[in-house]
Amino acid sequence: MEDDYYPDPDEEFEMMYADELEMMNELDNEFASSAVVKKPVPPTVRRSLNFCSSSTSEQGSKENEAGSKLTQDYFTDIPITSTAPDNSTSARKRTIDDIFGDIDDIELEEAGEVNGKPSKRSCKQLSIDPSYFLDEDFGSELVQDKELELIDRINALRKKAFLEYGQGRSAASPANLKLKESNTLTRGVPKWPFVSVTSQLGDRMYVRVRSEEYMEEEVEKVSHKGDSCGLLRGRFPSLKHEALSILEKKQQLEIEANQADIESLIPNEDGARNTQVDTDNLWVVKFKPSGYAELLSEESVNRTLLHWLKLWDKVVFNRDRKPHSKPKEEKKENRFQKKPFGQVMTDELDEHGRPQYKMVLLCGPPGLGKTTLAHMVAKLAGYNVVEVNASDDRSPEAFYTQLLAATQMKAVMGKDPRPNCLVMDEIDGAPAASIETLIKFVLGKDVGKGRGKKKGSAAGILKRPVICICNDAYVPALRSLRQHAFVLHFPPTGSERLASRLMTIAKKQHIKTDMGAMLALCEKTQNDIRSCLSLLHYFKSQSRPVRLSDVHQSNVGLKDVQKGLFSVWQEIFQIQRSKGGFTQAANDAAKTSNGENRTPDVKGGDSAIATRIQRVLRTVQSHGDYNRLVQGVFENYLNMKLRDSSLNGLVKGLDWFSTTDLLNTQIMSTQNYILMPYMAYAFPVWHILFAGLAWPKINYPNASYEASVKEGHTKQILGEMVKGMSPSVRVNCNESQLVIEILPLLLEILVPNFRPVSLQLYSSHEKRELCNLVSVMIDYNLTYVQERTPEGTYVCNLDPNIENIVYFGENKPSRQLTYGTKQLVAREIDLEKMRRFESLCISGQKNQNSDPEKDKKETGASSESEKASEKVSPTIANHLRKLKAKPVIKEMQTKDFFGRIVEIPLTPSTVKARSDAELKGDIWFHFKEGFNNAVRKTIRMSELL
Amino acid sequence: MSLWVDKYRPKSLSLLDYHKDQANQLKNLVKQGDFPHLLVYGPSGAGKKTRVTCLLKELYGSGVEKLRMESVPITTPSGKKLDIKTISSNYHIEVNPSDAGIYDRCVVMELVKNAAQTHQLDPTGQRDFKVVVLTEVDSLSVDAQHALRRTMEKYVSTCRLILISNSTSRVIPAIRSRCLGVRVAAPNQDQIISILQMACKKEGLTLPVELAKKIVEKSERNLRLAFLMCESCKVQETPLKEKQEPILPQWQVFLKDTARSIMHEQSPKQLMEVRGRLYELLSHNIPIQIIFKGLLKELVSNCDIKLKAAVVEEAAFFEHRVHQGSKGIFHLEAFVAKFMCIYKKFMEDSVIDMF
Repeated sequence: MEDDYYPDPDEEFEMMYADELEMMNELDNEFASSAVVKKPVPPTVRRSLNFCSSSTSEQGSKENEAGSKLTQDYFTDIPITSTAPDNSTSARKRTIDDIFGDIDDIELEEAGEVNGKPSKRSCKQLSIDPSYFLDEDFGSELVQDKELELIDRINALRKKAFLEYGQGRSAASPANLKLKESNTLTRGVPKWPFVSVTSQLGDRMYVRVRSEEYMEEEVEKVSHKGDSCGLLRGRFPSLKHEALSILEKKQQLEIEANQADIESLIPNEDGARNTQVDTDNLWVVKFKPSGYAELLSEESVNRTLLHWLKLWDKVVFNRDRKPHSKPKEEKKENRFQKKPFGQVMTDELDEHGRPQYKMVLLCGPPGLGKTTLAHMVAKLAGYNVVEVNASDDRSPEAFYTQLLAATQMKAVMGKDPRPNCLVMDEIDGAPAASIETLIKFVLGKDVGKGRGKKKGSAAGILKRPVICICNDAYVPALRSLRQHAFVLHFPPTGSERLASRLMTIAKKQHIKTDMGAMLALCEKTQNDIRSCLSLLHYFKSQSRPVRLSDVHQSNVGLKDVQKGLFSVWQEIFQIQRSKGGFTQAANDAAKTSNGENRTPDVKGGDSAIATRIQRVLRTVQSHGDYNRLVQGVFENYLNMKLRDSSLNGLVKGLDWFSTTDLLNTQIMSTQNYILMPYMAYAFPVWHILFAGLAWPKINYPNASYEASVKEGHTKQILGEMVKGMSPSVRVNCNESQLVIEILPLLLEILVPNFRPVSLQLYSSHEKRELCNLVSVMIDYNLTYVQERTPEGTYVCNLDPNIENIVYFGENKPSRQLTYGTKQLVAREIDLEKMRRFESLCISGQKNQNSDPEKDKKETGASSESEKASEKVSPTIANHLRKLKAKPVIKEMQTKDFFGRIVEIPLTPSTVKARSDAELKGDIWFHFKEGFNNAVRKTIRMSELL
Repeated sequence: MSLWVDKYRPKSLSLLDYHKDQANQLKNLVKQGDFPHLLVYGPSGAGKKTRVTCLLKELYGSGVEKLRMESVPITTPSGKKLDIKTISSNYHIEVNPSDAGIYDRCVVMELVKNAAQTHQLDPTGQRDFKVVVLTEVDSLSVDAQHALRRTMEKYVSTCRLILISNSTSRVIPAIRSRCLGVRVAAPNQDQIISILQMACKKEGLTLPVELAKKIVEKSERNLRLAFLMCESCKVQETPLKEKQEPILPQWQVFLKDTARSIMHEQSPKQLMEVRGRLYELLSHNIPIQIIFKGLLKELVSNCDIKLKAAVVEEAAFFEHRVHQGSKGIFHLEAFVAKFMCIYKKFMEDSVIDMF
């Protein structure tokens, strides 16, 4: 069942050899036409490759000297008819079959008849006009050195064969042939069925037509009848076997010679030879899998992808009207419905006949062959691959045009126009907007536009498969894509599999190596096929056998940058158990950790320490982000097991911390990066001081970050507070003084003793206290705000919440106002602020006489605060002042041209206007102005308070 | 009505309570008409700002009390935009350049230029120069100070600078020589007590001398702190008692606890704990110098006389590094570790000596 996912063998063959088949057909046609025209060369002669030609050669060599020349001409035919390359026997066989299959019975019969004996006749003719052949038939096309050479060789071989195998046999067969010769070809009209053939010179001949059976008979006679009549020295299978064995032997010899060659070259590393070996292609390209079976990736992944692609067949190929696609598709559909494919492919095709998922997202680390797989599978499924990768323009507009071009268009110019399959490579690097575009497009969000077109009922919908490839599926930009695409995680290739493939490649490239080295190589590159190959290529260029040690020692191919922060830290804090020097290192570590003195110059372990230092240094240097590394070491080193009672190690380590900080500051402030390399040298020191054998538990360093965030928060609160402080207070305190001196004590001052009673019952002393409190809080821009706690209760907090600045950890203020009091204070603060604002307005309008009602209505507390606000008002800041329009004091007097005052008689309308102007002195509130007969009344702010 | 600190702040030179000679000198300076650049320095809470405010009032009259807060937009050469908060009247402008961090140079140049290029138009202002008050000159970067010295000379006809700092040590000599230094020393104990008592009398309270002495001691002769403590004492218990303890700022308490824990145990684990506390202090915006100072004070007061010199030396060494470097916590921790090491060795040695 499952094999149907794959192209069946015939199909595959068709695909692979399509070109060849086509060419053969073309040749046949050509041949047929030429056969009619060119009389002297009967088509049968050409077709009966070996037999007749060999017989001719026999005759030629025996009968006349010119014959050899003629046979030569004959042989030149051979390459034409057998279009398949000489060395591929199967191909040749097929060709012959094909040709035979194409020919009518008559011709075949004829061939069979002629098989035995046309040669003499033709020889005759040829001897009559040999130049004719040379000129007309192949003179122009086939006088090529190569061909001639081949011909010569074959000729020589044949002659040799002839000489070897007895005269009698060879004599008998021509006689045999001669017997029937006259029956086959006549000048006069024969009695038997015939075909007339006319040469260009006008000679007419009649060729006898015979049945197929006759031909077979004849063939039997010639080839299988026994040793006596065979032109070959044995039966075909045995001959073939022999030939194969010879070939094999030859190959063997060649290989051995090559090996010897390589071995001889090993001692003297000959660079020149390498250059001629291969410079044309990277190995990655060269050893790309050429077929589905050669893919190295996980089979299940390959299958799933192919399955998914096949699901598209209905949409894609139905339109193409490929004859076999439809029934096949239907068959498939049925089958799929029977067998649900995982959780993904259950629901089959949507109303447009497309699979449920319009995209596939292949994700996995680099170098596993994702792109190769996509290309291979798409090609297998009969698509033309259109690749869009990071090197293309991927802005949303360009992306969209590409999408359209790839999915809606189709190549018309190419040899075989195939539907496109879009492969989006390296999509994790694409801008998020482009990915959005892709998703919208795939989901057919902008279908409306496309539907309107008359071309095709659903021009707007996606009708081509889209394969997306990425390294990291969890890039934020891909989040939405992941929901709409079928995500295929690419598991790493098995080391064994990769290593064995590497071995074959190495063999092909004549690199002496062993499986162990290859496995090590795989391990080193973390099964990255690409880097394995390039490494191998590199080893090849060194032209010496690749051994395990080489792989381990070589610095190339190390993916340094890939090492994460944590692994670097781990390397700093853990003594690596290197295979060779483990015990030594361990002893050494024991010494350093047990000994009182933790200086690095411990006797005996010098070399181990040296390697450790080297290793740490290299790791750190290759990572490069010193600052973060330092931070990580700083926040973790105290968690290591330090059996150092005197704390000398700590002091030393910290000394280095502060040194690195100085260096870093210097680098940053002066942009003097020449100091950068020295940063790395602190790490070996810490390694020596703090590293242990145990696996270190490393936390990500965020304490410093948290502290800085908190600091920023504190600063923000302070800034907020300072911004609204009254300038007279602000002058006398800057921020640091606020933090250190004022705020901590201010919080203590802001909690006077209030009885929990209502405002009206406060004593005059309490009222004064409250008033004082309110004015201080206003001065320092503080107030209480109600906040809801997660538990659902309400609390009053200071705003800005300076308690956060003042109190540490779990410490809480010893004394606090009650909730009610806080609310009271907050209300009083608001009122006081309003009062101040109003008093400003009032003081701004000096011509306004004070409102007598105001004092009457105010409570005791507010009158107190009124006094306070009056005290404040002369020093009210400029920013609190409000610009006032100058009140119209006196009317503009109209003057005539000479400056004399013109008296305008008072009319009722002018009187009214004037009184209106006077009224406009104050703020007026028009409540719900409109067509309403309700009483309109002006209300002042003070009345509302 | 406001805090006592603000309430009882003298408003003119003649009302100043201490350093009266200096006040007189300043007065004469104003009278003379030729007013130099000033560098006012002295410890925190000694009354530098008060003195400067009084001086300004002496110069321009009560107009300087009409203050407004503005935020001046400043564009750095790199194109970054900053908003600097200034307090200004018609006659002067006050700014804290260290708000701008490393861009303080631009702030200084821009502001001084702006102030200096606009001449006084108000004929009632007696002076033909404006005053630029720069606070916290200690933390001004060397670059900015260099920028300042040229500006000071160039615009001398229209602008005077008053620099306020805690000490002259971090002011470059070039600036120092261009300014008239005015040292405002912290008031002595008697002065503080008399001032506090006067204030309390006005509030209708009596301040016991014992409590006043305690306040002076706790506040380290910082008058502002003394006032705040006094008021907080009043809030605690209204008739002030002799045995009352003035409240210390929370961070000081926290720092003292930290020092105690360092003395208590010397081990990597303890160091880790101390680090957490130091981070906490730093994140509360307590300046690292203050932390160093506070720690050192506590540690030195508790350790043996033989160690004191060594500890102070180490503290000085690492405090210096704090200024050179940028990550304070490294140096703080290094100091703590060093102290632990010294202290532990001393303790072990003394134990060995006993036997």
